[in-house]
Amino acid sequence: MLGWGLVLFLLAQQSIWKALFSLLFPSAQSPLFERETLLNLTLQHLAITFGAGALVLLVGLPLVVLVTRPAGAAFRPLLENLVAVGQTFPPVAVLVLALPFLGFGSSGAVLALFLYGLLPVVRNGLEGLTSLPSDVLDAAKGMGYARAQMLWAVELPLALPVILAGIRTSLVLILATATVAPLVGGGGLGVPIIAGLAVSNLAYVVQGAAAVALLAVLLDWTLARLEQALTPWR
Amino acid sequence: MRAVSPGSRAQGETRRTILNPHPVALLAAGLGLVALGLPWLELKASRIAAGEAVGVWGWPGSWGLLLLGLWLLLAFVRGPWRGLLLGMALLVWGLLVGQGTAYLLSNQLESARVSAAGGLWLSLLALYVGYFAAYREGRGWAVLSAPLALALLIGLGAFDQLGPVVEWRSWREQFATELWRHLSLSGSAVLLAVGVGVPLGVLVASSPRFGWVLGVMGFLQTIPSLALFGLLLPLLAQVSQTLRLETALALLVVGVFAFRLLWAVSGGLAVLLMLPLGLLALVMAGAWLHSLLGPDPLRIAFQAPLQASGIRGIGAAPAVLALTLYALLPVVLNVYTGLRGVPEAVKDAGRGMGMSPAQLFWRVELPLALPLMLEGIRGAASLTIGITTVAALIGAGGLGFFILRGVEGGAPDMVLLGAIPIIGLALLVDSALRWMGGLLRWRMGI
Repeated sequence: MLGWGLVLFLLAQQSIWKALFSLLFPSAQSPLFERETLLNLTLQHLAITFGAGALVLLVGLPLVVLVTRPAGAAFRPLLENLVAVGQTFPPVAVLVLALPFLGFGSSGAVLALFLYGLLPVVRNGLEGLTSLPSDVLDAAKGMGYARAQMLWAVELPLALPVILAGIRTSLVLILATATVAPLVGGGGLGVPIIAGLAVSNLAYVVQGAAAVALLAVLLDWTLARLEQALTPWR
Repeated sequence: MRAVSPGSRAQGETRRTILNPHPVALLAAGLGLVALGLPWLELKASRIAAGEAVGVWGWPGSWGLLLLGLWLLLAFVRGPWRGLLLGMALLVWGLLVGQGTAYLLSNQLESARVSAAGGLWLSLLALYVGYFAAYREGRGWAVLSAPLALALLIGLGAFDQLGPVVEWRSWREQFATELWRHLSLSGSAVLLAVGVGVPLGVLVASSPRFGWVLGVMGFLQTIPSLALFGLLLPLLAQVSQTLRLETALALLVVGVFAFRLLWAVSGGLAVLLMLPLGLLALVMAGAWLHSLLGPDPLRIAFQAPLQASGIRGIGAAPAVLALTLYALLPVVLNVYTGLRGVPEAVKDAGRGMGMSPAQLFWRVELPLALPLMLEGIRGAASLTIGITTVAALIGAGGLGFFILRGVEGGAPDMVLLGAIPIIGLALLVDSALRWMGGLLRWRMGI
């Protein structure tokens, strides 16, 4: 929490950034990206990331639970295959091709990122829910657990570490890939990077790149801590 | 090899009847039927104009009805027949597309284009799901009939009038160059990653002292590709403008000796001090490997800044470097896990036979870790082919070029011209390496 507060506070200090980049890139005409403050871009970036992340969780986890029940077992190989194939799609292309369906702006970006982030959650969810020790399951069955109870009280808690690891990978991947969102009119920290590349202003590129790298590392770290907090028995 | 799941057991029980509504096939048929109700094609006055959507019932001919019938049959018919029906469905699907494009383009100006719309994509997904169902039941028929149908369709020119193919015809030469460039960018990155990553993995597995290497790679992996490109840009631009080629080479030679000396004092210090030189070596090797493999001429100019030798802040040099750094993690991690997974008893047996540590490594550990290493290379390769798309943003070219040009010009067909081959390449490389891994396991009797 402290880390996030500190980073957001730092990102809000436009004047410090301006001084820093004037120093680093003395030849640049405008050393700081002026169209939008870094803080706003960061918040946009986080909004896109968490929007797509929420979709991934809302769709991915129920799908995983469904195909690990006897009723949906026939669909399991198909789901595994489809998410793996989905990941080979270049994100830029998915973003652009979703345009006609979702229009210009952040919603297309969210959908494309959702497709991209699905794999780690589904893969880890399947791994977690299918590799449970059978003696534990038998014991639960013997104790008279109903199916729903088994899922909530035994299977999900046991699979939690693996599932959480998948969510972490997925969210970091989404945050990283969200950098290309400006190509389809979405916002975020990719805006200064792509604008900088277009007008070959390295200062813009470095600002966006440094901020997004910082954010990615911070998110990864936060989620790792969260994993530890949620699974204290590990 | 087929895992026995509750689903496949239920399947075996219903095999007795002719009708066998397999759930996955039902899903495919459902998707296919929904798709038949949606617009398939989009007629546009030019490649960037807005289009007018048309469904399969919007053009004369009864192929649509036939496809509808095939979907219904496909859902309910049993086992191997499904594969045959799927091939037929694919054929009819292609003919339907060909007929539609030809009909829409008759009486139109030269500039008119026909693009794919939602229904066509959905029916493609339905065909894929259907293929998957058929493949798992009786792979022979599905494997035979689907490629045959596809080859027949291409031979008949069913897709010749479709937007992306038209784009391809007008960009033919550039397409070949960019495809080659894409392959050489990702190829040199993967080769370098294997060259650096395998020894690194062996090192990490040799002693727990080197565990931090995995941490560093994991950290690199979290940094977004575009950000890594962006951060490398100014750094490389500076170095390539000031450092002369012979100075760089001399530095590298000195660096090797300095590393040996420092290593004796402190391993960590040696790595830390020599890391920039390692990156320099990597970037030079990457840029030159790419020129050797790819369509861009190899340039080596002495008595001039590195810039003149093709190592610049933008272009292939930073692209290959960043791609290599990304590809390293899967390679190192799998080499490490592979070597770690060699059972202690097997190693003991080798030692008992009087093998020296080197013999033990080459004859026992390495062969046993090989399948997992190959798995890592597969992961690295398909990852790299995808990320190489972004390389076009920093002027390195590759198939991402078409995607970016398409985005800038608002021409979705051009985006597809870049995207479809990238997806195809990734899947192709993935399955080729998977097949090799399977062959290896089979040869080793695992």
